[in-house]
Amino acid sequence: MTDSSSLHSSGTDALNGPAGPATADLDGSLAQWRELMASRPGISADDLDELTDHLHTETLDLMAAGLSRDEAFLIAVRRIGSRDDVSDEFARAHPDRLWRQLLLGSQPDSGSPVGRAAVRPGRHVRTGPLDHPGPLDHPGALDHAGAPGDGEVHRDLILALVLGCCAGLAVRLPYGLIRGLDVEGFYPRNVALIVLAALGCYFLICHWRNRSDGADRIDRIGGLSGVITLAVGFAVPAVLVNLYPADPSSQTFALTAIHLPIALAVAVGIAYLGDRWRSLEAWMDWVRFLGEAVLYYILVALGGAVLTVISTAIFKAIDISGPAFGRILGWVLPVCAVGAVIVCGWLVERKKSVIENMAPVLTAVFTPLMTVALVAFLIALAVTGNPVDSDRNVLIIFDAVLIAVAAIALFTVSARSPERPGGALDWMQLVLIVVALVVDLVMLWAMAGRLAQWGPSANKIAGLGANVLLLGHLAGSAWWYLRICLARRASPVATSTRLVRWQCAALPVFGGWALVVALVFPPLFGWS
Amino acid sequence: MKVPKELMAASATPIVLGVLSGGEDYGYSLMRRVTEASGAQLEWKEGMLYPLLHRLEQQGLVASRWGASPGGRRRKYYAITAAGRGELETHVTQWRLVVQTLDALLPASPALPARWPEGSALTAGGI
Repeated sequence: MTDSSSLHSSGTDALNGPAGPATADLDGSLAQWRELMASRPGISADDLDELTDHLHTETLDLMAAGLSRDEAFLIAVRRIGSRDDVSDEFARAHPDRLWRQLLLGSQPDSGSPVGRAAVRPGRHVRTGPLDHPGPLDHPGALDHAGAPGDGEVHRDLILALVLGCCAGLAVRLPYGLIRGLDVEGFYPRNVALIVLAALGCYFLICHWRNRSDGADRIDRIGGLSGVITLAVGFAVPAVLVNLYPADPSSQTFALTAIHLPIALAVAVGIAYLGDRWRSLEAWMDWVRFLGEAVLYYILVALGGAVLTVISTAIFKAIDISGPAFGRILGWVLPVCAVGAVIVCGWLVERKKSVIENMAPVLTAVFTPLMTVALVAFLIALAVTGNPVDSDRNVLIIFDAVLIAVAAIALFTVSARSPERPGGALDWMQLVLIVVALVVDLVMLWAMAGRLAQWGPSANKIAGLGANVLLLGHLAGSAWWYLRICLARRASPVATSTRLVRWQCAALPVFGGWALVVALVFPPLFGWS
Repeated sequence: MKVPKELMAASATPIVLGVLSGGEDYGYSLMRRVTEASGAQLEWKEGMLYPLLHRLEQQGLVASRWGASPGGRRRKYYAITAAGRGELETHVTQWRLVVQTLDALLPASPALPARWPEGSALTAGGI
């Protein structure tokens, strides 16, 4: 006992304790090892069971070979490998878990020897320089293992604030400076370009500055191909959109305004994922990021709205209201609204668990509601007859509903634990997706009918394309959900991975289609 | 013997699949069989085995189920799938080619254990 603590760091003392009845004490050591391991991100309770069983069996084996209990346990622990290495490897095998477990907050650091964590967008595996002397490193050091240094946190926040202000001013200045600017023609097509370009820059700078995992700088920001794709993805729309004639009343103008942000949002994913952008599964992290960022943005926007209302009331009460105050608000509000996007990007990287907590609830609530709504729509159609004659607005509303179904499926999958066997929630998803498929088929029929009746137009073709894509996407999702639901016994990990891959593959496809609608449709349909 | 990380990473999948092709097994026993097959020469960080098994499961090459150890602890058993067998065959062909090439080109070294490569993990059936 005493010699083991002199061989290894002081952490072993706590683990071995005073000598006692062999098995009872072994259980205690195992429990303590398990607890230390549990504090690591990326390791689930099942993994702990598995590792503890390994440790237990190996210790008993070594004791049977004639070693003392302490010796056997120490050797077994050493053979398993350092907890840092093992937990890092687990985190690499299950990056999704970090979204549930990693609590990224700046904690007071008491000069622990553990290397600073790498906090980079799109990369959640801690890869700091970690070198511990023994198999049982100092337990006190564990508390800080996941926390980045304070300086890094502040640097990222300052970067986010500066970029946010720049983006806000870039949005606001044209309105303030350029006389005779066609506001209605400029903003709908350019706001998303400016804001998302700033967000992409933020991600790229974060990747660029973070050198903790030793990769080349160019590799970290996605390699030459990633940067070029990104640059082209932003430059081409920026140039084309501003060369195109701006007629806010035309169909194609509205189509561009709606579809360009979608295409750009997918493109920014390249900047977010950095060197992982070519890996299909990694795109699920971008989905998680988007989901969380939207929720954070809503919260920030609510805060901003309350602040605006209060300050307006105060200035009214003390009679300073008037054109001056209005002018200040006219600058502050847009700059803050844009800057908040970048700050939300920073917030999500600091703390990610919102979607994880919200998604199951949202799914459980919205899945049955959506199913009922879609079934009601189908019944109404069956009663009234020909869907081709149904109102154009009805079609638009149900297109939106179908997109909502696809989004629900996407975010549910992003929060779904791949180890979980098919359950009631998965059946609900399957039913919803199947009903959505039927609705989609009816809509396609209606659209084809309208197309034949009134001839093609930009809106009709865009709607038709979106519905065909949705049909394929929903059919694939339904297929994989069916496989998960039917495979009751077997662990559905492999099928779940295929479901995730299917959802990820949809992102670039939808993004590409959105880009085509935004940029090709206007000239194709003569700017109508 | 110390084996470079890259070589270890490349051979880990066929080794694990090879062990499992002989039947369902749990982590610790799998580890022991690898150690025995290498004549206790191959050093693995044993904890790394599990993330690897989980990755193989995600790829559909192995399937897992929870059982119990004789002592009553929860124990996870892994079995190879049909896709895993296909993958193993590919690996075996590739490794045979590598071993054959090495055999033909490398000078016979007295430092190498006499059993190499016949008894090694490279011949998948022999694990």
